[in-house]
Amino acid sequence: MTVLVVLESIVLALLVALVIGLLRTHAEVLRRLHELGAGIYETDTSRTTQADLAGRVADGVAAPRVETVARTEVVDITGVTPRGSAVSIAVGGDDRLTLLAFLSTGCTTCGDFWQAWRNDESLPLTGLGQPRIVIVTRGPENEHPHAVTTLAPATASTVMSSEAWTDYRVPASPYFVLVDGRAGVIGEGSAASFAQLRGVLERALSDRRAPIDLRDEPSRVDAELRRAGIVPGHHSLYEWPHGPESPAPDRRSA
Amino acid sequence: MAELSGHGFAVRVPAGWEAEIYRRAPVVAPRNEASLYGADDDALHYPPIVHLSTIALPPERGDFGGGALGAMTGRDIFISLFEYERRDTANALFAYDGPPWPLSPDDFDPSTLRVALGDQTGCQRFFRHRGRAFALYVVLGSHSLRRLLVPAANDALAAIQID
Repeated sequence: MTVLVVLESIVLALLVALVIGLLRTHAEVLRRLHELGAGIYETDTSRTTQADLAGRVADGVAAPRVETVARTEVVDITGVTPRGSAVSIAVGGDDRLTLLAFLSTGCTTCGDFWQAWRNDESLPLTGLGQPRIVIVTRGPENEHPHAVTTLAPATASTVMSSEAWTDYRVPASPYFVLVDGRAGVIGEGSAASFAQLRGVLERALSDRRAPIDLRDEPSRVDAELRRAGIVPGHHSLYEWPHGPESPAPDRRSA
Repeated sequence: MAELSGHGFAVRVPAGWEAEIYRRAPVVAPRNEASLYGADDDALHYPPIVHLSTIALPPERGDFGGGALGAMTGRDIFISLFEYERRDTANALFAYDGPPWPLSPDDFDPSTLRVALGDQTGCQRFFRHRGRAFALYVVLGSHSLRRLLVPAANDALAAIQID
């Protein structure tokens, strides 16, 4: 009897150890899932992490940065050309629209973009026209100038500048930043191909234009008032909602 | 404000301007000719050039702005500072000693332009400075607006330091 009790106790202890091990493994799995953005106990759904974004883009495409406030500052690009000239390219200022293409010589996805610009492919943007293309690689300390010279197109400026990568907080290559010289950065992100880049930029621009459509555009407001029977001189335009201290308008009949 | 340096130049690039300091590769490079630049034999045959401009500088352009000046509006300015060989300082063409800036609106004449484009106007000055020989070539987008543009051109020129 005593032997039986001892054996049962040992089996029970082993089972307890097994259950504890399983629970720990389960907790570890949940923790990893949570880090990947698939946690079942996620309470703060408004916060997007870099891991969330990284899991939603194709291989070879850099995830966009996670920032809650739009970045608008513009920094001119200063560096060297692949042939060793010191160069400063103006990005800020009126009438400047620049697409900064942060590319590398070793990244496979970048190859499509180097090729497209060597073929002088255009990138017209609706309502904005053709941006100036400035290709920015890391500086000579990280990239071989000869390799950049081999890939660089003749018609687009190519600058080697690690400072620019830092200034624009580029997460990886390829990465693209569209800069309006007056308004600042108006769109940024990565793409897997040149064709996809067009779509990304057009979407960024349409997103940007959308809020403008909601503003009080005078002709639209006039049209809506007219449809409601309110025309210049209508009495409702002169009624003040705050009582006797309100200014007394010149009442006229419609 | 960006700062560039190279080939004996330093440039504090004014806001809204572009700049490049570069050297053109030689067409013919005599091997045994003594260098006037000391040990740097190649420098004799690679004239350093400084470009400063309010327009976007295309990667392929002439040393005096060919291929780029057509994009200028009436309010744009292009500056080229082209260095000749040091032995040219002995030439009467480079007799003027010291940078020729600040420039005056009266220094500009459309007939100075290598290629006449619209209302553009230009100014060219040859000079020597610290044993080096230079040609300064400045193009303004509009002769009519030269009194407005020359002060901005002078500000940019003042930002060029020749060692």
